[in-house]
Amino acid sequence: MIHPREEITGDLKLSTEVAVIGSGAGGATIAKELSEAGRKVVILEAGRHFTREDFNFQMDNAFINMYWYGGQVLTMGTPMFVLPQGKTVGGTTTINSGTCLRMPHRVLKRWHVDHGLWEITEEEMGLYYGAVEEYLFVQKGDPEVIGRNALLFLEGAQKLGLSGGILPRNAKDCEGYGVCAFGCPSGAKQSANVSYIPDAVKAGCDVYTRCMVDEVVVRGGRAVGVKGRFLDTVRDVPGPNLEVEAEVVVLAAGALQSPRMLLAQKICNSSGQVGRNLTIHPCSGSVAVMDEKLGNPKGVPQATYVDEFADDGIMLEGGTLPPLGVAMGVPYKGRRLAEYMRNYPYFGIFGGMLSEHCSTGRVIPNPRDRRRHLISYNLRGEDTAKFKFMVELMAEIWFSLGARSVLSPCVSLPEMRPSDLATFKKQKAKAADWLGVSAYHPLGTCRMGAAPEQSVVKHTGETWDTENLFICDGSIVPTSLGVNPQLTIFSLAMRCAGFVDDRLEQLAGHSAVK
Amino acid sequence: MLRIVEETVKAVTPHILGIEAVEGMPEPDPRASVDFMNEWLAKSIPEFGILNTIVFLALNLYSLVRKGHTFPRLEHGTQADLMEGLYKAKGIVPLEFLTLLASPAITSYYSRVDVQELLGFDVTALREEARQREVTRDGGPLPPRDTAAGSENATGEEKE
Repeated sequence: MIHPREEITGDLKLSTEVAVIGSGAGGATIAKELSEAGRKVVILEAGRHFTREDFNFQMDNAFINMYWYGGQVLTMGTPMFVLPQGKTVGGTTTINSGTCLRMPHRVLKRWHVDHGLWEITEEEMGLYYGAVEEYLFVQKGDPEVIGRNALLFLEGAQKLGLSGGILPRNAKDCEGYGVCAFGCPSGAKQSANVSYIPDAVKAGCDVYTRCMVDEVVVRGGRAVGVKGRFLDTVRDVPGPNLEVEAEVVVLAAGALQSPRMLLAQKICNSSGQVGRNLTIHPCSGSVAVMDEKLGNPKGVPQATYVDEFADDGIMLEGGTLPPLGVAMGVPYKGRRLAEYMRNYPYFGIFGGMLSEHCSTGRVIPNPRDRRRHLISYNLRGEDTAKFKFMVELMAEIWFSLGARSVLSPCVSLPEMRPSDLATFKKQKAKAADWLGVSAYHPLGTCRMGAAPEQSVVKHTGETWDTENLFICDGSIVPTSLGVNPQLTIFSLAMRCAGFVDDRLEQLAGHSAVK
Repeated sequence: MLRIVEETVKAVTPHILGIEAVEGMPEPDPRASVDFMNEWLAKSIPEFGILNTIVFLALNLYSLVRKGHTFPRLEHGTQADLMEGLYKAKGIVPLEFLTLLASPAITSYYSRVDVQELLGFDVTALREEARQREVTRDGGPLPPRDTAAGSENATGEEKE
């Protein structure tokens, strides 16, 4: 069952076969697979449990209650990115847009050649992808539902000869309320909180919410449990203690929290790679003022894509947003902000991300408080030019559709008219030019690999340094994926569950012999 | 929150929103900006709270130097002049400063149901509609198997 924080009144000691830290795409999947295989599983989640009745269409409510640090996870560097991460049952899957794309062939090849991950084959991944897609009802959005905004942008791109289409999503009977990132109010989006977690619970899994794990207990080089604290229901004030004795520990706290925990505890880092190799997808929104009303925000926030430049590391995905989502990014204040926002029904809204690029960053524990992290990340070299090209491309598409103006994150030209585009194209790009940009999909900070001196976990997800400690979240993905990562994380977790189950078998056999 | 910060958040709210220049938009609620900021900072990292305090104190220092009084004690018109000057500032630092200064006012205003409805986002009606149409995982037919990667994928399928 899902234990709400309110029922925990004193210190708690538990014993289980598997302790899973985190309930996102990695943790929820592994918990469901193992629970259904008859294993005793406990999930420890730092966030609260919300149901569709709690999802009230309000962005501010979601930021405060369902995102880490009120939505203000920031990278230190140039430019500074907001990197929103979910802190609720279901993790970031609860507050993402639901896009489900398979890893491109070229990326898996890179895993093979650069990281020696030959055990992860195309055929095997194809099977896991297929199973996850079926389980999560992954299908392309219904053109009747996804909204005029996304279809119009796609139409514009196609008129310019650019390839694109409708995105596949984990949504069943979606009505396009346009608020996926604040929790799906109808339960249509098949995030982990409405799919894997309920099925895990049905199979006997226990989920403890508002539980912050501080330590993986390691004895004789083996993980044997975890220690943590329950947090207050509202503020992150520590309350009763929690100790879980477990045969296997699965760390699935995400690509920012998982390395932070390992570094704070100084374990699993003989390679020196924990917290390094962080890849993110730097993003920019593009808001255009059109002549027709586009029905915002009804539709799907990520509904169509333009992948003409995907091989060069640029993917456009969009698009609609509620008024607040736009207002936060408008470069004007005062009268001009109010006048601009009055045009909201006429806004064309889309987004783009640098889906593959050379910049990487690092996660370290905050020296002032090791329970929090610091993230360093700089947009480097040609990535800055790519970012500018992405902004230009979106503007060009909107202008081809007759947009009167397009907002840009560039400080020197915050709003472009059609006549400004040529000048903008000639400008030299600098990383410091971008304001109000965000990033998503952190990966790579506990990367998988074939060599213990260059990676943190084996292809099975088990750490090289600590037996019976598996990591199963975006942190093990060794490279940027070129697409939104949730489908790959779900699939890798399904794969990892098999190895955890094998380990439990081995441990049982070992005890029997003893 | 320091009293001076609270008063500054309230005083700056109507200027940031600029609603008076646009017909038909609901009046701003400065108290709501303070309430949002309190709730938000309680969830943020402490450094973000410190940064926000610095930003609002810096506005007062700027106001003191330029106009001889802290921001909340200035006349409305003088406050407006001061803010107009800030909006004209160029460069990333003043713009980041303004972003932080504006966040509580913008977030609390544009998340109001009446404001959203006026802009065409009928939150009340959509909430009711969503409440009545719960999607369950059972019963419905499985959708067609549409693999749909936007690019060539791990199973070797080609681009659309």
